[in-house]
Amino acid sequence: MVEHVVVIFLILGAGYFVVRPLVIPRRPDDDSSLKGDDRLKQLTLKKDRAYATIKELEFDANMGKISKEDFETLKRQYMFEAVDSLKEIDELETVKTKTTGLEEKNIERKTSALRQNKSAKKPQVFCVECGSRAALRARFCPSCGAKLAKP
Amino acid sequence: MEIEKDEPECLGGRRQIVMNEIGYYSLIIALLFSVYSGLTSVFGIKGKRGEVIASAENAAMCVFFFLTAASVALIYALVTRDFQVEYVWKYTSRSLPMSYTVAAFYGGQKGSLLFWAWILSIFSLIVILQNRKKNRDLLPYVNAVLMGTTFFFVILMVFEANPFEMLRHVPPDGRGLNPMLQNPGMIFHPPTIFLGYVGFTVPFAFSLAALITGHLGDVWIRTTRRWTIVSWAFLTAGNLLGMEWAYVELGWGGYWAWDPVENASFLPWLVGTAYLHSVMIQEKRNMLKIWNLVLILLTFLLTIFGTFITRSGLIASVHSFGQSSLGWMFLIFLAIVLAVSLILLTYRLPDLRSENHLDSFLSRESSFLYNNLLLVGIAFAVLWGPLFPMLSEAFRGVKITVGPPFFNGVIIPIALALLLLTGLCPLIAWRRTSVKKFFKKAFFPCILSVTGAVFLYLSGIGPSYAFVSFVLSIFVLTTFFLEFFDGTRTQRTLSGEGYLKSLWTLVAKNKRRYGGYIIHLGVVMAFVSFAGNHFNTEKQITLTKGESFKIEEYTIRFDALSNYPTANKKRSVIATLTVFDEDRRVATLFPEKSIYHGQDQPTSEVAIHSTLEEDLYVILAGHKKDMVTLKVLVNPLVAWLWIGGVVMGLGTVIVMFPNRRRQKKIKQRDLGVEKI
Amino acid sequence: MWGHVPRGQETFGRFMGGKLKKKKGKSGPIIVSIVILSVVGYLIYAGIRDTSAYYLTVSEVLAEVPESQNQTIRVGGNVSPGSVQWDPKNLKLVFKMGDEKGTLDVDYRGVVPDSFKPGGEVIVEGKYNKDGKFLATAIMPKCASKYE
Repeated sequence: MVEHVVVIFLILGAGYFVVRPLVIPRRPDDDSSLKGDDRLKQLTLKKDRAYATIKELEFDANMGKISKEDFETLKRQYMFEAVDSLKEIDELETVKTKTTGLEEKNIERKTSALRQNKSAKKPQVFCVECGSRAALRARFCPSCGAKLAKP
Repeated sequence: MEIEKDEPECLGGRRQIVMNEIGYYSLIIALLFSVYSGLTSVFGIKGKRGEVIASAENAAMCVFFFLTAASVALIYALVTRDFQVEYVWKYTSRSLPMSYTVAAFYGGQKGSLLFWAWILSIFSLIVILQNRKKNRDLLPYVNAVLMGTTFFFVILMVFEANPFEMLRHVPPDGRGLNPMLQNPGMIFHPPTIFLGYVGFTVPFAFSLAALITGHLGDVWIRTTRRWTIVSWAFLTAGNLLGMEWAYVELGWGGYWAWDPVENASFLPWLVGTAYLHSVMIQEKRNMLKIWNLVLILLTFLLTIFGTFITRSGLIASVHSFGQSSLGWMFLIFLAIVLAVSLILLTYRLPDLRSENHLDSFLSRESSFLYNNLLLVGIAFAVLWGPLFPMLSEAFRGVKITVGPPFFNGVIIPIALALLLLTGLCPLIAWRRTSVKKFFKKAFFPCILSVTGAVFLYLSGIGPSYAFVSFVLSIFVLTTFFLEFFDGTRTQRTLSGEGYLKSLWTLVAKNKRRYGGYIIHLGVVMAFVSFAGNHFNTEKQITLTKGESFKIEEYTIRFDALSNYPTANKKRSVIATLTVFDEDRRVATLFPEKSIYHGQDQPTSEVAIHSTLEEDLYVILAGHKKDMVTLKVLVNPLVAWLWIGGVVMGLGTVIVMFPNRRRQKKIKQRDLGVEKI
Repeated sequence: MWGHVPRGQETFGRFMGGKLKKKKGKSGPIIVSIVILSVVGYLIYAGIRDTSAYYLTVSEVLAEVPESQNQTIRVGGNVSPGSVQWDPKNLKLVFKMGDEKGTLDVDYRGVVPDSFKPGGEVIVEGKYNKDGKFLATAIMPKCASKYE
């Protein structure tokens, strides 16, 4: 007898726990998380990877594992890779803000800025050390603290 | 129910039955919830309904809850020694010490299934909690795969191997745990290896989720990176503990006999190790995507295959667990997983093409590729060895066997190539290393290795695999030292800190790389220890009281023989031996031969005198009045294997150590490219 | 979604201006890999060729004496009860093993494993000589008690 009571009690508890999310509505914004911005994540990772590789290359060069010429070639290549990813991230994010529909003004401003000059659409710079964004006027990177060159 | 009057023991019995019933019902409920959770999470993501997915995740937590309840019920039955439960009766007895009584939880097949399912449900819970806000695109599928695997294990218990099965009568005492299992190894080895086995289910689930969603970048790899390393570390530790256990318990003088069960846990380790290396290439260069998927799928399949091998009785083994129909269920599960993985992989093949190419045969990523080929080559040999005789019997009708000479002959050279690669890898940079640079870097290690080789040769160690292993170890150690030394120096010039501080910064800055070196340092120690096997000496001798004999530099004198029963053992015969190293008395050893209660076959307990240099290993093979027959071995360098294991563990901890958020300002260096 | 993939290389090619010698590097890793795979393959092949031993039952050995002579083989059977002689002083074990069709005399020098017992199943490894004796170099009793 006792075991049946206990088991039934447990089933009821567990059942409630499982059914609850179905009955109690969730806040609508939670669902947006389902989509997963995979391409964006990809690009961010790619950018990070490129920066990490550059750092490693520098260290390897300092340790004398690779020659100066090799280092220069490889570093340039990864710099371009990073820059490429950054550009694309930027484009994607612009599109995203557009589609999620913020205030129309905002969109207009952004698109017009985009039309005017693709490369200088935002008053922002990227840190060469870690690739994160910084305000144009910033002197240090907010993420890694590296000193930023004057634009 | 009927005689539920006043006897406290009856009440206890009643309570036990309640617990037992709760245990079995919990299994059934867990089964239902795992089905619900798996199905709804797929429906939820297909219909993009967050609330359904949330419900599925809650159901997965319920699976964890009920499997925990079932495990508690079984442990309760064991601890209260409720012999009416068949499982308790089979694996424990009144005389069994409490620690082994609890360990009997996973000492038998049914219990180990429950243990497996329970760990899996714990891991599922952790995965869900870790990913509440991340990877929402992958998680429903991850959950579905985890629940599917849990479902398989629970359904086995519910229909085939119910650990809560009751006997009709209440036996006065249990049959007791196999004496071989009554060793501290029993407490540590099985859980460790289980954690490793089960842990690989998580990266596997993520890889399937990546295949299903088509989000094939390295998000899933980065997410499961820690899972992979921890599982790998547990598998490594589990194997080493198993070796240690075999060494002290099985009493034939060694720790590895290429037994099918040993191979079964070696296989996922090999492929898992390959995976651990190759994912780094995907992280760094976004290459080898297909290869990584194949490796992790293979690792998971091999963990199931290992269980199949040991459970099916298909291959005779010293471990031979009872044969049962369970084996074939594992085979069916294996076939399903294999089919699903292959279909998904073929379906996604066009998306998996790599963005990059290997640039040079002399680059770090190439060396990782070679490492992978060698590891998988070993795995193939280990798999093929026992499989070939079966095929040969099926096709040619001739029964042949493949034994340790096969494994030693094939695997030692490949393993030595791996060791060489371990030494070469630090000399090679990512992407490309010019041959000139490479030789410049390799010069000093080479000189030292050649010097070491000459020295070894002069001290009488002839050309053999052991010789090669020693020389390669010197090479690897030198390159590691140089790597740390050069790194510290470079760091010092960059930061201007002292040497110790620079070393610290160096390791802290790149834990994965330098932790990795430490792990490989442990591997080198293991290799040195394996090479020591080449110099094992063995003597078998019969001595009468007072007599002594010499082996290597040891003199062993037989002093006394005692014979008495203990609580756990029917009869225990212990020989007292005094050991002299040259003329100095170094140890007294007590090799033992006992008959445990409920057993008719004697069990030998070896005695070991262990130093860093070598182990003196004594087995009491037989005894008669004042005579003992001894098997004595001198095994050089065995201790270094265990030390190597500890070093590997240490390295893993360094690799795993969480990254402190970097607040220090990193020195600005001009990278030569203007900012956008 | 993966339409972006070639971008990186485009840029790469644009800036490098074909400076990188791609052809030279590409085949290197493949050649080394092929070499590794063939060596591993050969090792496995040679290993099986050189080390595998025939596994026969007692009656098969008795029937095929000429073929199995002077070649290491493994023989499986049961230890005949009452045939076991153990000389502890010289560590010499003599016993008969057999199946339904016949018995085989086995000579073995060395320590007897715990699980060896009359009536039990045993596998012996060694060579068979024409005098009707099997000179065993190893005996492997099958465990009577299982771990389950």
